[in-house]
Amino acid sequence: MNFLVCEDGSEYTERFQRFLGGEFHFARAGHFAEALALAPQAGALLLDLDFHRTPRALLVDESGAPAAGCAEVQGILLLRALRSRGVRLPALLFADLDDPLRAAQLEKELAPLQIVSSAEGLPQIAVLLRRVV
Amino acid sequence: MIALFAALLAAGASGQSSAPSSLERSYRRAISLKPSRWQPYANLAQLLAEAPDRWDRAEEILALLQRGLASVPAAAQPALSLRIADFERSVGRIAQAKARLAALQEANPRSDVARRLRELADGIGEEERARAIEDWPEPQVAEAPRAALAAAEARLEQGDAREALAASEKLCAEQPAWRGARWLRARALEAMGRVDEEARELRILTQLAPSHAAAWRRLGEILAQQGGLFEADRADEALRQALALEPSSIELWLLRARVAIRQGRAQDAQRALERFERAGGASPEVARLVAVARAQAGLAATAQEERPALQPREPSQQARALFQRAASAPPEMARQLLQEAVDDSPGFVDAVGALFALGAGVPEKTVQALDQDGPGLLELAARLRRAGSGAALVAPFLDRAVQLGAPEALHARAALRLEQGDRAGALEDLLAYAASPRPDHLEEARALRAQLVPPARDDVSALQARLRLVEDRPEAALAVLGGRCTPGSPSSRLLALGEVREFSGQLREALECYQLAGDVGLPRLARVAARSPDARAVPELQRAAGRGVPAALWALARIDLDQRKPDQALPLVERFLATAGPDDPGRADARAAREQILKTTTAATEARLRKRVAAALGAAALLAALASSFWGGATIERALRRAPRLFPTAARAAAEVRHDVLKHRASALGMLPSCRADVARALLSPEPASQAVARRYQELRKTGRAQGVSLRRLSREPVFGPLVRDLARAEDLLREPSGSEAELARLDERLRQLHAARLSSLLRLGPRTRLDAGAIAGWIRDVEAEMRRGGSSWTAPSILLQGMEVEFPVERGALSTIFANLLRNAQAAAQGGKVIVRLGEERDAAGRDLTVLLVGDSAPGGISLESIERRETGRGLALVRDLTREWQGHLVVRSEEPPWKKAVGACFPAPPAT
Repeated sequence: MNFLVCEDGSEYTERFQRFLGGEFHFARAGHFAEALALAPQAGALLLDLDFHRTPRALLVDESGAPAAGCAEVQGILLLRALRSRGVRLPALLFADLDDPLRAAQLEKELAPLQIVSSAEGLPQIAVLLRRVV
Repeated sequence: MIALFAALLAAGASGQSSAPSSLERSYRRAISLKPSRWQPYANLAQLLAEAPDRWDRAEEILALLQRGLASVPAAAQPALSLRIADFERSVGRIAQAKARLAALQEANPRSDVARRLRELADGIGEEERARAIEDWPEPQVAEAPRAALAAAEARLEQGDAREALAASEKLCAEQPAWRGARWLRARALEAMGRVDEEARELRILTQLAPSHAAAWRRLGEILAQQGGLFEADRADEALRQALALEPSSIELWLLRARVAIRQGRAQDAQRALERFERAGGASPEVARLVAVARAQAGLAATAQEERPALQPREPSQQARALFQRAASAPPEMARQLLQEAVDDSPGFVDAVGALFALGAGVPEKTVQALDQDGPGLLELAARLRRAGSGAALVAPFLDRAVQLGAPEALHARAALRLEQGDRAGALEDLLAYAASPRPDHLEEARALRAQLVPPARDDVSALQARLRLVEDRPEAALAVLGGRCTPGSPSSRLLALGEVREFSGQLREALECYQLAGDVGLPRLARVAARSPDARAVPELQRAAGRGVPAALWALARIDLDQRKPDQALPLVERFLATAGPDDPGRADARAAREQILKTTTAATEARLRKRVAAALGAAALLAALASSFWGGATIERALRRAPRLFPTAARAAAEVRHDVLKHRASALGMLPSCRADVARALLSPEPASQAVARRYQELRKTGRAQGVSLRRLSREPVFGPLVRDLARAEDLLREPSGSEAELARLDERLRQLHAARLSSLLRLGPRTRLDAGAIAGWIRDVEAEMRRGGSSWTAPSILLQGMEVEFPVERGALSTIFANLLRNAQAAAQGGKVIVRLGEERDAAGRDLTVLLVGDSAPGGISLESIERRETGRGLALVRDLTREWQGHLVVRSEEPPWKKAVGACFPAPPAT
């Protein structure tokens, strides 16, 4: 299965390729426009939260319109924008949210979505990916 | 008759020489010989009003005087009544004395009695004012909370402010009027840099204990240093109270001068600076402040607080019309109309009150309508009482209002409970009221207190003198206390006189008073002598030094130095430096004096001393350097309390390590035992993860040093140190092909659980700044003063604050800079048009709660985020942009409703709830 990794760098994609590449395929999108273009070939989305390294002109708000000030929660906004364009792929968001209620609310609003703590090790992430498949 | 004359003559003759007890015996004898004569009673009342034991004998004396009042002819009763009232005043029974005077006034007294009546009423009024600054009684506190307080104090002492705060909050909740717990809470908040909350706590503490000099002092310092123009009056008031209670705190005169300058009171500033110097103070800041005061002379503060008008409780139009018609209708008709008005608007308390006055009860619908409305219930109770209801009817309404936390409910219920004879309940309510944040009727509450608590038996003149000092009128304070210090006066009066002299900068006179006061005056005497050495006080200073008063050692040393006896002075200086507290004002001068003595003493002594001191100092310095190198420095948590500005850098370091190392590199450990080579590569290249973390910590340490904070060495730092050790151990194991996989699994778990949690907890240590309308108004005044000085146009902004206050996760100084630049920018754009300041909370599309600070203006031209992004760093909106980003927020530009056009501002993620 193809997973589309949305992140501002390439650490997730490289790590997943190196350790889980035997089992799954991974492609990378660095911003919303790329993610929207690659989504049709993907079976699921893996999203980072913070996109500080992405050029500010490529950041978007929840509707997909350019919005320079939202790098620290870009993963959520990018997913919201994809959902608003009809992308219904299952998604994992890697984020450490302080408020569990807020996390539950997001999972409900942007379903199918699961929020994964950054403390999760690769074996646990592999389990989650298999579940999606 | 002859015996009576003899008794009176004996009394008159003994007036010159006898002790009061023999005089009293004479008056009593005269009374027993002829109980219908009024003068012996009157003389006795006057005599005993000054007697030290009058408090214990008040009941018996008043009973005798009351019997006298019944026995003397009617014509003499007013004059005797006056004396009895004066006696009642002297034993603190103010309410009875006032009632007696009121009854006398009703009876249209003769002109001479009326004049004395007025004089006595004035005296009582004055005394009431003085007693109003007495402390509220301390509640009874059980052994267990006392022990908890002592333990929390120890925590604070050890630097654990967070624990101390948690404990003090629990204790305050259990006993709101316990000042020990409140004082601890204030200091814990101070240690954590939460000064806004600290100021609020100190305000409550000074309400409960107006004699708490340290609380006034700290409150004054906070308001003077952190508050804007809006707080300046309160800062000055607090500083005046602190100085009146402790005139040795002479550095507060400097603060008062600064506050006066901020308010444009240049002459007052100059006066405060003169006082500082006259009281023996010296500071390079004086010259600067004098120059500023001169430059500002003539400017007057015009700041006026604008209070929002209170919205009256509004019934429907129809109910109001019915109510108005009822006012002019005959009773039966009126009752009908009022009933209809209440049926229409059950919460219309005017109508309910009027209906009650006409004989109806309180409708159940009204009770239900106001069930959640504390102020409404209070108003209802007040109306019903005015309409003649009994206390029992309104008591449940007041209970409910107290339950709902209506601000003035406790005060109203205390009055009611007092009326119902529940004195303990009334006092409990009053205490809770005095411990509430902003009691509007504290004066009235104090008057009620006077009926519940026997007044302190202290000499009221000391309180009156304190009031005069707070008003900056030391000469009036002296007059109250009798002016001169004379041998044989009570030591409490001598001390009070000395303090007034000290307050006025008359140090020699102060010293004389303290000398006469005996042993209790020694600590004060030593502090004055340390500022103004006087050889005549040597015997007292030696006594004080023998009792361990450090200031006495410094005073004696200064006297020796004045007499050119440096060899004698040196050991005294050394002892002073060894025993004085770290904030003792004499320390700096004493150190300088020691240096001077060491330089100028004889060559042999100098050589010997230098050798010894240099050896000792060298060894000490070496040890200190070694200790500081190995043991010095603060943990990140502690450093952040001391320097909240370090937070953005510390947060970035923690977030990067969590993201780059834990998430992307160390998480590979979970893949063992398979792909061992890949796991090793993830941790070891391009550089070992432990080295990357260590490097990041060293960068943080360097930034800390630049901000004046020394962080601990990595090996002793409790978050980064263990993380680096665990990473290094994992790397060692991975380098060896046979490295234990079980140990690696344990390390993996520690990294994912323990270390990730520790790094996350660092991210929650950011400072918080709470802004309420007062704080914002103060900042606005500061910007206004600055812009007006620069000749720029100014328009008073509207303030729109969502809720009572908004909490920002930003250090106060940074937030005020952001705000000032936003406001200056809007003022410059508006050019006399309209400006609005908005503060509030909102949720963004990512589900985050944000706190928002916006400043809007009515200028037609637009502005875009991109244009702000392009600006060069340094000032104005570019500074706002950089500071906002540093504190993990982002800039916003929004359109505004007319008459404004647009707003520029900053959003920050709301701080997590504590």
